[in-house]
Amino acid sequence: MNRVKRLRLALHGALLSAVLLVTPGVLPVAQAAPVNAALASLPADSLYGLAMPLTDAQGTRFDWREMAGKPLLVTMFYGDCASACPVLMQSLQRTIAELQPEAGALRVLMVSLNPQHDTPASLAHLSHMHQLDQRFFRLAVAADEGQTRAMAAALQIKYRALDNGEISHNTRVTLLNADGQVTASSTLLKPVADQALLLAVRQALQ
Amino acid sequence: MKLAAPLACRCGALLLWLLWGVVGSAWAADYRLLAGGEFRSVLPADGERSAASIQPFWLRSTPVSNAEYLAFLQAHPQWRRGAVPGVLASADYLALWAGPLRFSPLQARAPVTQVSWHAAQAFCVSEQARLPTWYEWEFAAAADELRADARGDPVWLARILAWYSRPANQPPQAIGLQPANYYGIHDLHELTWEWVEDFNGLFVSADSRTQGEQKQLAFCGGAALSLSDKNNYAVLIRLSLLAAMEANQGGNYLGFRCARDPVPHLSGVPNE
Repeated sequence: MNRVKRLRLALHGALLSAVLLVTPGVLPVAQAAPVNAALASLPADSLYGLAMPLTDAQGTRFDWREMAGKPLLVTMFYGDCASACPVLMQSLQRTIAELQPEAGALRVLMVSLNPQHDTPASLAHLSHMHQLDQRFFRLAVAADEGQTRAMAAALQIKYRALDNGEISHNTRVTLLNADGQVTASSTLLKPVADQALLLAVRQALQ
Repeated sequence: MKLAAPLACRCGALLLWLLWGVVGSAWAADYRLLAGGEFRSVLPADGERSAASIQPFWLRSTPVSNAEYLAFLQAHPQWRRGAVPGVLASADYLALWAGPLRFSPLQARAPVTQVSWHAAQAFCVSEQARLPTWYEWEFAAAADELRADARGDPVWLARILAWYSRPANQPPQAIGLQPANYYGIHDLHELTWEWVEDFNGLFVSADSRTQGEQKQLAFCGGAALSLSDKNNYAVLIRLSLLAAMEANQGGNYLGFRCARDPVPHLSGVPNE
């Protein structure tokens, strides 16, 4: 009885691994299982339900969900953007300057809207140009247009590439709590800190 | 020797059949190659008046059906109702299905609806495809049965517009009941709404450079006012609806189909 059961189990295992090897799309799911288990405890409205592999200015590959556990300011921009994006960066720099958070207590993630153009090198250059504080700011780019759209969709950022190379977009900065829930957002486009957002971040840091 | 040969043959055939089952299922859907080119869209490419330039692309000849979507769910459990995080699909996801793997009372051959943008994208990726862009969809949808661009015909425009005034109290009927259009594509009109890849990029003047009061109007449907082809209400209605959607929402009449970029070594081979 016992032997039959064991045999059946072994056979089942062998069959299962054969299926896993052959069937496309099944193996990645099996590999993703530990991540899913860790994320299972996230609240239903957490934006970290969206997996988003990114590459940062240092060339490090990471998933934005790895930034869970601490409050996160997240927005999107693009490297060649001459008008809105510098203002956006200035506003975020002012926000950090006014808050004076401890290193690691808060991160600012800025994801490119232009994965065809922005690279780790161009992001590093941009970061240097704008003298972004490396302790807080992380510039990153997704693998392709589809991923970028998915990220923008989750962050309620609308954008459209025009045929002159510019990307028309709205600027929206979202504050996520440690679990990835949206606690505040700002669409103010001025080179100063958004006071309402500042207040929300302050509360998040307490 | 005599015995071994047919056995080897049979094994080969079995292997081929197995391979076809695995690879073929992903490529089973019928795609048509559309040439694209310069296209006068309701959404000007420069934000003001210029035509769109569309690269050649493959488009699925039919929208994705309930049966096809069920097969996707069987292979991808993470997309089943109840298993999907809220950011990817809200509570209305497949809400009319009797169970996570039962589309009844809906019909197998009817287009799947109540799917979020993320879910539609994931389905298309499983077919080595993506959602079509707005320009691609609009290009294909400009054709009637005989003409590549029927948009100058008020009779045809009135016909496709009439669908929007029908009461939406019944789920959409089966796919392919109406004749294919000029490109061999079915049901772009008069069956469902359809997701496009850049649904969150369908606006005209509202962007970061627009300040003050104009900014408040951003994306509130006012976008359509500055669009160029105001006679094509049917298409403008779609544009407005898509622009108002969130990526985790669905709709009782909102379905999708997929598109592919031409792969260099496959170009010229129709409907592989």
